[in-house]
Amino acid sequence: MSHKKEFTHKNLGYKRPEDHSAVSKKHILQLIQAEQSPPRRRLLKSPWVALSGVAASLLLLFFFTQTNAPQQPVQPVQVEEDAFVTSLLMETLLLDETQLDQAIQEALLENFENDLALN
Amino acid sequence: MEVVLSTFRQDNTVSSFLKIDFNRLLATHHDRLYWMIRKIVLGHQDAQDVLQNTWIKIHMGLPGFKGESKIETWMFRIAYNECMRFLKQKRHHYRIDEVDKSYLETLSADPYFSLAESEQNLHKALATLKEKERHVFNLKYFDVFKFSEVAVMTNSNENSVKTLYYKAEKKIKQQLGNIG
Repeated sequence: MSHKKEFTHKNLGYKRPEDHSAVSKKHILQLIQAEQSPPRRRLLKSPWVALSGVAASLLLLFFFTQTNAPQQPVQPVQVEEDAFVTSLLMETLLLDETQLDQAIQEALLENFENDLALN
Repeated sequence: MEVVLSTFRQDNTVSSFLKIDFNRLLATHHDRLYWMIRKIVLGHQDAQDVLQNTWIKIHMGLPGFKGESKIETWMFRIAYNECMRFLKQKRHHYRIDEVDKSYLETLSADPYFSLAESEQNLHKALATLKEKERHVFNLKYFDVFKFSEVAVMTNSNENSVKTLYYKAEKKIKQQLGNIG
């Protein structure tokens, strides 16, 4: 193309500040040096951050060992059966059949009498 | 500021150590990188921001540079990637395969840009190119890189870079012919 020598970045209309090159290089070097060496304040703060981090991790470790401790299998306690107590309980629970029949008969009679009186 | 560079053989064994003087690298390539970035992002302040990020990334990446390509190509590839990252952040719907309709407006809005009549026609022609075509054209024509280098920088195939360049050249010729 015949325009090759005609157009370069300098005459494409692009401009930049006169001292741009030097200022920019200096600024870039400063940026890189700042990235390499973190500010002093951070260095002073960092041991405290590290200590608190260690403390927190120890607490977490303690918490997990407590909550996730392997459970010991619990041996069931052998309960000896007391024959006397058992028989006593059974006696109080069971109703005598004859006594039950009698109570029903009495209740029926009472109901019959009541019905008669009402009619 | 010196950065130790290790170069690797194909089996990844360290064959030699080189010391690269970062200051020298900065002094040599600062301006060329700036102009390359400027033609992509257009604004001076934007170019300056991208340039700073580029140099920080170059400094961070130098120890791991394996010498698979020329150091200049590697640096300009970082710069190109930074430009793309910047444009995608700045313009939400940025598409590299589309024409930037705001090209001339963005240029005119920059305080460090003055459009003389002689350059006006060329910029009007450049404004008709798709973004990728314009990038490839700029890198090959104005920044005078080889096709193979442009391909590495733009992470493209060399043949597709050639196609893009010739398409862009044809469009510009047509545009300049029409205007002229």
